[in-house]
Amino acid sequence: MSILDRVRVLDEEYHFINTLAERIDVEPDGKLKGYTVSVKDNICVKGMQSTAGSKILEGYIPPFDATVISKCRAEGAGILGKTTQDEFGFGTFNINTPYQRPLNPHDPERSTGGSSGGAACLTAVADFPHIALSESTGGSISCPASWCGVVGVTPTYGRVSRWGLIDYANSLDKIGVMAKTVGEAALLLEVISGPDRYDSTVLDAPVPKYTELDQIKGLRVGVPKEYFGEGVDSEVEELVWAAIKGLESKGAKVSEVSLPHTKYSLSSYYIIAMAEASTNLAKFSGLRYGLQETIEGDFNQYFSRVRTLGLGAEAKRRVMLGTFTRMAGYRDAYYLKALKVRTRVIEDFKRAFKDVDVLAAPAMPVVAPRFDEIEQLEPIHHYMMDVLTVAPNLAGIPMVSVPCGSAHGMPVGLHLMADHLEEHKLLKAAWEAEQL
Amino acid sequence: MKATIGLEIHVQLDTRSKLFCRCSTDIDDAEPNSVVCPICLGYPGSKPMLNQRAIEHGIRVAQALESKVMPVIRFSRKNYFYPDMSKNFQITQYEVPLAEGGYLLVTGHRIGITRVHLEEDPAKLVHVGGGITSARETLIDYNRAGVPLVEIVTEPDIRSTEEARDFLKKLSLILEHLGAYDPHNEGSLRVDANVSIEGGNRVEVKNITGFRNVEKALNYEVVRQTSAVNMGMPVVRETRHFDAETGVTSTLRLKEQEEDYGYIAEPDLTQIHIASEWVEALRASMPELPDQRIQRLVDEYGITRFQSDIIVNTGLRMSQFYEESCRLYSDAKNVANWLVTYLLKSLNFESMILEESNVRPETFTELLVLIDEGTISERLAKELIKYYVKTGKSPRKIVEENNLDLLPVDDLRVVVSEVVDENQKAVEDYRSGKAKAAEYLIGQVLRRVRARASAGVVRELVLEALKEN
Amino acid sequence: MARIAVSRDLVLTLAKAARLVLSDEETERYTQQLNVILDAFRELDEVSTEGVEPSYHPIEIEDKLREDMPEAWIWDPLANVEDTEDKYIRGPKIK
Repeated sequence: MSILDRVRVLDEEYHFINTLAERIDVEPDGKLKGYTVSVKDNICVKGMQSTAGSKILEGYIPPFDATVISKCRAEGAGILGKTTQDEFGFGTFNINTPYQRPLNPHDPERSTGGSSGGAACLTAVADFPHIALSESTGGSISCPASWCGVVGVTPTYGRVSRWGLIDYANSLDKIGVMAKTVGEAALLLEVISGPDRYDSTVLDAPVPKYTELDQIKGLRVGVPKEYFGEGVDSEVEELVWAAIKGLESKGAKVSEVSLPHTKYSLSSYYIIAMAEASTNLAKFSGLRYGLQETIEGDFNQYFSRVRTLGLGAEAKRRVMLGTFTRMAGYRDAYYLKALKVRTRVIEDFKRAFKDVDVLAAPAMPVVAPRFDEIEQLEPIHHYMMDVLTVAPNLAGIPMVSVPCGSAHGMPVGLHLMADHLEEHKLLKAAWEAEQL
Repeated sequence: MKATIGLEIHVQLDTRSKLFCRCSTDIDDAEPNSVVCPICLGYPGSKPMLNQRAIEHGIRVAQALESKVMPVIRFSRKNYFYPDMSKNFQITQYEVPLAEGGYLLVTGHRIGITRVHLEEDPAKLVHVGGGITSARETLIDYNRAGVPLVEIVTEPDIRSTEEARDFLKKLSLILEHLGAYDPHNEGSLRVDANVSIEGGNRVEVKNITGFRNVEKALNYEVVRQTSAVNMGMPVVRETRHFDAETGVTSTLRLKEQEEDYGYIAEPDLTQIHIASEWVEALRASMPELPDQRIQRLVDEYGITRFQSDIIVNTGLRMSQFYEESCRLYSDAKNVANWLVTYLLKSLNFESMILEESNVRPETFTELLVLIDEGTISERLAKELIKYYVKTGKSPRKIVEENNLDLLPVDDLRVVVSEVVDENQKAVEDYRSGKAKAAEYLIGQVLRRVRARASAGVVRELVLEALKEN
Repeated sequence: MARIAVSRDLVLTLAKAARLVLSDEETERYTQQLNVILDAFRELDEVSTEGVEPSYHPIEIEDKLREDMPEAWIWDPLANVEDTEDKYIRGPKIK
């Protein structure tokens, strides 16, 4: 059975693919030789439908490859297809989409997590060489990775080019990777990182050999006290502590740290993300590409018709909220305030990293919830689910979710975080955690 | 007409590529939607990249207006929906412009500059089946989308519609001298004007192309507003559109309907530090500005201020033409006289500008040499120049092909004799004291030889002949 | 920030600004949801940000400029457009 056929069979059961490649084209030899790469549906692949999980881009065929895709192809990877996601990244459970809703491979009645649910799901079930290209704005890699029991790496903001990434929030979006092992994740990260003449926010820093994984002697692990206790499931906490203790037994130095602005990072994140997102989504108005209708009425009527039809409820909610936070009269209190609080959040991390190499905490406060439980939740509860991932995402620091056991029968992820551009340190710590 | 006027001038900068993408700015003869890329078409996943040359042009413009260049600048998203917007937001500068303050002197009156900043041009719309408010559909050409614009905002210091026109002419000339824009491209300068008269509200007239239209639009507005006030009706605060064909402004939208642009910082671009070394280097290499050139031409060539003013104000090419001509022909004052008095007149007569014609310094000075040589008379030259301007043909060739050179004196004497013989009555009148009769004979000779003799020489010969007789 | 009571009118204003048409039921629902969410955001008032610079990016990236060299993008820009006329893209009228 070919890989594509295998994927079709798996997809029948788990629903993680939006568009499957017709055939896997493999180019010359390279670091990714022998690997297939799946692509989150908001990363453009030339000639392959890219919807970003939205109806407004149904049938949209990008005329260019995202830079990360070009890099993958150049290193011999075979592009498998586009994985499903929450619309534009708006979601924590991968249910906000008119396309496939993926099922958690450990329990099909539960969510995979989001927004990169499809990527995590496929990574977990693939029984052929596969690494997933994914993306995180507020935790969209760490969440599904931890809930599906795979490794998820979110690099430093600017480490990887965003050219060809359909924007959610430009100062928060990062393309990252998911894999079964830290080694494979490091491999793909090494390939996709580095400067790009098409993205002004890419960092010029050289790319170290992330695949060189060994133990860091005397690794200093900081445990942020705000990430434990109330609001975090006790079994989840136990498992994470066990992992931390495990590192300690291998020679790591563990200490408590404080990130005092943690609780404010949720609001700060959502305000900034929605403000940026509401402007990013304005381009989807029925002209030039994407969903188009018969040209009727004046431009306001036409734009409204297309957008009302093409955007989902969560997208509409965020666009309206984002519009509000930038409105004259509210802009200072919301948008500008949130940007200043962000500075405070970054300062917290910078202070902590003076004394430690990595931070360790649970990736998510609970294990993957059941779909019927999710139905009872209000939008605000969806947002609050991100409480442990938004701060590092807001600060643009790199993070890795590594599986560290099961609670209530479902995977739990240990979340390791490091300072800007310290991916090499971070991956080594994650590798070590993986060996436990 | 008196009014209180503030202007927002948008000028297309003469860079080779667009402001945020590498598409060429050479779009004038291009097919619609052929000079575009995913960035200027606002494709999802595309990101802007800032053109360094645009910043340099912008800094020079600021310096020419004595505007203070900011040490750190940033770009913003101005969010509104419109069919000419590729992304339904325009990348512009809201919080921190490229430069603040400054002024421009217009006939001794100081017009304050509020700010100078950069932004991208939207696409071009063709309104099908009517004007902007009556068309049944729109056709969009994105070639223009992303072309760099420098926006110059003035304080409401302009006191009349004529002053507005003069301001724009001077600004246009300065920009041309800076090499910042191409004045011969109609669409490269667009103006939004804020106009109010005593006792009335401020009205905005948007998107007026070219400064000739600005004066028309402003005059129409002032008249309209004055009638309203005279009839005791209020001047409504609103945004209007000027139709260049009908010469009329009409309501586009009321101020209450104004959009809130919901500005955010453009997160796909970085902030830019503008080092003082960079600013100083640009100032040091600043091209000569019009006021400087006017003075220099007076000092260097000994021409009058009046002439220098005209030469420089006609346009950059004209002053270059003048100087090139002076390099080929040593009498700078003579060049100036002929240029200002006759060349310009002939160009106007042919409704041509210098750049459109085939007039060249080599052939223009040739005309002057022909006069100096004595090959043609000044009188003929004044006639010939019209034909020269029209065709661009070498004056020497024109003279040769049409036998226009001055007749030798002996040939002239023959004509004089003929005329004298044919007009004995005039000769007798002259004898009896009627001096006017000589004029008549001179005129007859000149008619016969057409321009191939100078009036002075003919007069001499006629009087000589009359004496003999 | 003062307690913002998100009214139906505000939601309709926001929807209009974003070019979205909402049903009565949606308007009702969003009004309620937005109230809850915006109320939660008020916690930022507790943070002292006197003299703090806003972080437009989480990490300092500066002075990215590009040379003024034109480069043609070889593609068919109208391939994704459904309604064209003579190479123009057809769009809705203004008024």
